Parts: sequence; C-alpha cells; structure tokens
Amino acid sequence: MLQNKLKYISIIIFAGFLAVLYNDYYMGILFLAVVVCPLVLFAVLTYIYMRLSIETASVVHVVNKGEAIPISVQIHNPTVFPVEFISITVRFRNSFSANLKENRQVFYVSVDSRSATNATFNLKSEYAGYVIISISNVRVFDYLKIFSLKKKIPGEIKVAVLPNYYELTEDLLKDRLKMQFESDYYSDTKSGDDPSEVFAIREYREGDRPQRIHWKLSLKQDQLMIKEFSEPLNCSVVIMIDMGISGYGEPDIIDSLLECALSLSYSFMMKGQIHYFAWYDSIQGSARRIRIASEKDFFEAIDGLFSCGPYVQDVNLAAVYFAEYPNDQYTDLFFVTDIISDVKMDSLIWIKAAGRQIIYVNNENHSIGFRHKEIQRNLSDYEKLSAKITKTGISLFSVNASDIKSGLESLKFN
Amino acid sequence: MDVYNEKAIQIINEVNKVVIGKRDIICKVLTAILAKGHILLEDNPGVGKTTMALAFSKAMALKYNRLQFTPDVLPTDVVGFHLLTREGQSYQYKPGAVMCNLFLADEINRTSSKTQSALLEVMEEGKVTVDSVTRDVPKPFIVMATQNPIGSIGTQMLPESQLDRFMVRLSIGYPDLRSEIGILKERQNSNPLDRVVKVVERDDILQMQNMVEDVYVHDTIYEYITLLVQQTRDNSLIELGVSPRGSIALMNMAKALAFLSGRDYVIPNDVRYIFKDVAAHRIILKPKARVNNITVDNLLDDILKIVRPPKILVRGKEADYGFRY
Repeated sequence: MLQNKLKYISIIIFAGFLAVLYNDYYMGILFLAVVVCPLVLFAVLTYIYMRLSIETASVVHVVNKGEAIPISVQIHNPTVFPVEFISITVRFRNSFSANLKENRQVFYVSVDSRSATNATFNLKSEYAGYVIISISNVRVFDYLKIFSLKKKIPGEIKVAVLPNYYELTEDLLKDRLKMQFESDYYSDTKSGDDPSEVFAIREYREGDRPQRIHWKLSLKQDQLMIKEFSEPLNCSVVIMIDMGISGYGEPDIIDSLLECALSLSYSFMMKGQIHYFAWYDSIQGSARRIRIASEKDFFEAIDGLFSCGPYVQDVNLAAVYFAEYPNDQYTDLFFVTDIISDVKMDSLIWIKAAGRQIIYVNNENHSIGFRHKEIQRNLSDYEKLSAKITKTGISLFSVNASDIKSGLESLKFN
Repeated sequence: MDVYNEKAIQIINEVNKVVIGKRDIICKVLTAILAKGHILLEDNPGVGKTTMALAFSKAMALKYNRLQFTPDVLPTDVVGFHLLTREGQSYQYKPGAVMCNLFLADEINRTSSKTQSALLEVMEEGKVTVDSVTRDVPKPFIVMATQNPIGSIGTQMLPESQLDRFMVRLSIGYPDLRSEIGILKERQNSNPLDRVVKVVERDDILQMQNMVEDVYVHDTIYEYITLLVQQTRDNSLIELGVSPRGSIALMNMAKALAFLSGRDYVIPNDVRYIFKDVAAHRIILKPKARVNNITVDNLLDDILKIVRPPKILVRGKEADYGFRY
C-alpha cells in the first residue's frame, strides 16, 4: 500500500509539473482531478466502511481430528459502491495449547454493490481440543489501494476437535472379577431387585410374586399392594485420566492420553459395561466423574474434559478422587497417565478396588520409561517404585503414544 | 384483504389484553391458526398457556373444548365412542373432546402414548374414525397442546410422528418486569378474560385461511425454504432433519405471516422469522452434539446465517422488510 501511495504522489507531482509547464486550462483541471480523486476515494471508503457488515458462521461445531472445519465469512455490502478489495485475517488457536502460537490466515474478497458474499475457507486442527476461531481484523481498501480502514469484528467460533478413539476388539474385562459391589445409587426410572430400597408401591397385578406383597398396607387398603424394589446403579469400573502435563507445548501427549482413556471408555460402553470416567477439573479444583452408560454420557464426558483441559500444576488425581468418593468400591480401576510418581501410587492404593491398572502413555521406545525427571535422575527412586509396584499388586502397562490402538489391543489385563 | 388484515390485528390486540407483553408469541400463534396449523406450547406452569388459548377462542368465537391429559385419559375421551342405545338396537355416537374448533390438549405429555396417538388422524386430516366410521371435525380445527418441560417423571414424550404434526412449537416465557407489574394490576379485582370481546366470526377465520392460501410465493423463496431445510438434513450433528411436511409448514407459516403484515407476497424475512419455531421440534441431535453444548437453537441460528436469503425486488425496489403488527 505504501508503494501505491508513493506512486500516486509521483502522479500528483507529475500532473502538477505538467500544469505548471503548459499553463493550460485542461492541464489545471487534470491536476485538480488527480488531487481531488484520493479525497473522493477516501470519502467513499469511509461510507462503505460504515455500512459494511461482516460476520462469521459455521454449521460444523464438532469434528474429528484432521477433518476440515468449514468457516464461512459473510460480507454484506448494502451500499451502491462495489468493494474491490477486502483483506480478512482469521485467527485460530487450540485451547489445549494455551501458550502455543496462534495461527493466522489472510484471504482477500470483493463484494458487488448491494449484495452479499459468502467466503468459505477450511481449517484443520492436528490436535484435539477446542479450536477458537475469530476474525482478528478486516481491512477495506479503496479502488486504488491508497487508503485502507481497519474494522474489528467481535465474537468467536468454538469448534470441538474430537480425539481419535476406537472400539477395541479385545474384551479387556473378559474373565475378570464378575462380582458386583453394592451401590448406594438407585435408578429413578426403573425398578429392580434390591430389597434394601423400595422403588414404588402399586396395586397387585396377576403374575406378581407373593413375596413382594406389602401385607400391612394391603390390610389397611383392603386390597393387595405390591412393593417394587429399586435397581442399584452399579458401576464397578472407573477410568481416570490424569491430564497433568509438564508444559503446554505438549499437544501430542495430551492427544495420546485422551485417545487412550476414551478408547477404553468407548470399548466398555459398546460392550455394555457401565463405568465411571473421572478427571481433574482444574477450574473447580476438584475431581469430576460421569457415569457412562450410553453415547450421550460418553460425549458429555468429552465435553467436560475439553472444558477443563490439561493442567501444569502438580495434582494428585487419585488423592482428590478418593477425597470426594471415599466409600466407593470397584472391581477395576484404570489410571491413564503420562507421569508416574511415588505419591500417585500411594494414593491409588487408598481407592478400594480389586484390580488397579496404571496405563502409562509414553513417548519413549522402551517398555517402561519414567518421564518424571526426578525419578529418571535418581536410580534408587526408580528401584523403589518398581518394588512398590510388585508389592502393592498394581499392574503397570506401558502404551506407546505413537500407536495407542495396537498398544491397547496388546494389553493383557486378564 | 385489508379488512381481514385489520380483523387479524384486532384479534392480536384482544388476546394481548390478557397475555401481556407477549405480542410476538400471540402473533405466531395467530399465524399458525391462519396457516391451518396446530400449536404446541411448551413452557413452565403459570405463564399463561391456557389463558392464551381461552382468549383466542373468545376473540374468534370458536367452539372450545379442553381436555386435561392425565394417565387415565383414554383415546375414546378424545375421539368419542359408540354407545348402545336404551332400546339396544343401535349404537349412538358420543362425540369426543376433539369435536370443536379449538381443542386445548392440556399437558399432553402426561397421558399414555395410545391416547396421544388418537390425535394423529384428526390433526393431519381433520377427521376422526371410530369403529370404522369416519367423521369430519368442525372447521376450522386447531389443536393447541401444552406440555410442561419440568417434572419428567411419569411423562410420555411425544413421538416424532406426533411432534411433526404440530406446525410450530412455541414457548411463552416469563414476562418482563414492566409486563409483570401490568399483570398484577390487571388481576386486582377482575378476570381480564371477561374483557376479551368477539372480533371475528368463525367464517371470517375460514375466509382468512383461504386468503392465506392465495398469498404469492416467488420461486426464489421456494428455493430458500428448501435450502434451509436441506441444511438441517445434511448437518453432521443432526440425526433427524426437517421433513417435507416441515417444509410445507414453513411455507404456509411464511404465507400467513405475509398476510398478517398486509402483504400478498412472501419475503425472505417471513421465512427467517418463523424458521426456528417451525423447525426446532422436528430436529433430533446426535449424541456428539453434547460436546461443545450444541443446542438445536444454536444450529438453526447458524443455518440462518449460512443460507443467504434471496433478494426480492418489488417494482424495481427491494421488498419492504418490515412487519406491520
């Protein structure tokens, strides 16, 4: 644009020079026209700038990783002047990588008079999480590209990029403990067989078991009344995802953790195994869990995870979870993490579970590597940890972050 | 047309005496009535759903029946039944609650699905079949159903087939501060329903409905409606999009809105104005939509932004986008 300005100034100088040189009426007019032209252009530009409306829209709010996110920018020009040149800068960033650089994309459009233009462009996110898209600035140029005015467009679009997750073919809980622990949570909608809680009382219907007759009430009512017992909502498996990371520049490891934990959860859900999915809510400072029985619950858990995101502070998820749900018992506990420490192991032991499995997601090639710098440095700590694993009966499985699917498939929990 | 248009505005004014501060909802209800549609009012208790229905029946001199839907209401209560006469030689038809002009189905989701289904035929065809005998219900026939979103235990959600038969689903919402003060003042010592006067006869409503049918729709508007509806079917977060019946409803509502605005042609803003009310209850989202807390309303807003409305020129000038009411 500076180049255009310089060019135009040279044209003015040249026109002025001609006007002085020839001292002619037409040359004077030409000089005046050349001088006035930018003023007119600026006035038109200002008018267009005031009337132009720009907004972003996207009908796609949830995509899978690597899928295109179509973003539409709508420019409405209600004026009689066409706009030749508008530059739009779109800014987007992944909310999981808060400290990573923002991406920008600039594109140019033109709009006819009294019409609207719909410019659509596609974005792609390599990593899971919320992608926040906004128009950082819109620059409207005049016809000669001498002047431009910058317009700020408020608002942003939030698109959720789902991590990869698979249904594992291997039945991970096959031949595991089949026992069900007693539950204090009962269904609000369905009756069951747990005599410790009465779900409803109703009139006798043919086929009802005599054991279910409420004799006292039947005598009072002068008709047979039936007790319907409650259905305990048993949830004997818990998956915990520890999203604690050493720094925000690690989107790969966050994706791998999500992929691993969600694949486990999805596989259990598909096999009808109702389970809890738990994580640390860094905003509330507490552990959150969702009981996953259907796809709706599964996606709600993803939404919860995305809203909280990873955290850099040293949080002991198992301890926080135990503090909130101290009396719960499980047959299986899966702890998905990328950092193993002595303290975390101790906390896992507090949670009442028949089987505790740590799924260690690592970037290294060897089977069990400890990314925790302290442990890596100190061999005695490493040995201490290994000894603890053997002593406590916690199973430790290592999954390579680059190939979660085959890593999980090859695990032999049984 | 102007005479009838004035009468329609009068109806709105009359109902507005009772349902204060909800003029846009009243307009939409009247629009649905003029478009020969049925209305589903979904809202919290005590916001004026029943009062609105009563006010409409009074202002339009319609025969009004109300049925409180409870778990023990039977299909025969709705459509009627045959009763053996005293002589025992023939059966006499005892009409059900639907044999009226304005049928208020109160708390429709509290009854069993078989009773809900009894309304299917009459809502679509304006006829009831009892013991293989089909009878017409009086014209105009409007079902105004209410359902309460709070207290889902013991309720039967309306199936998609039934929801699709409602032209619009509306929510009245709580009144604003000024309106609520007005309501309190109005209710001091009289029932405002007593002040609602008859504005039109039943035949006038039929005449208005016929006039709405004659409202002109340009090809670009048909295209616009189709594009909007197709967007609901192609969206990756929508399990069930708007049906062709929904497109027809959208067109009819847009025509009725044009009539209410004193125009004999539809403009894109007519379609935009009622699109969400017509489409929202016909859409089922995929579980994936739970991520990012996507609601049907959000998606429909985006669809309205994405699909560019056509430019309608009337005598060389862009069509007037204003609504008259």
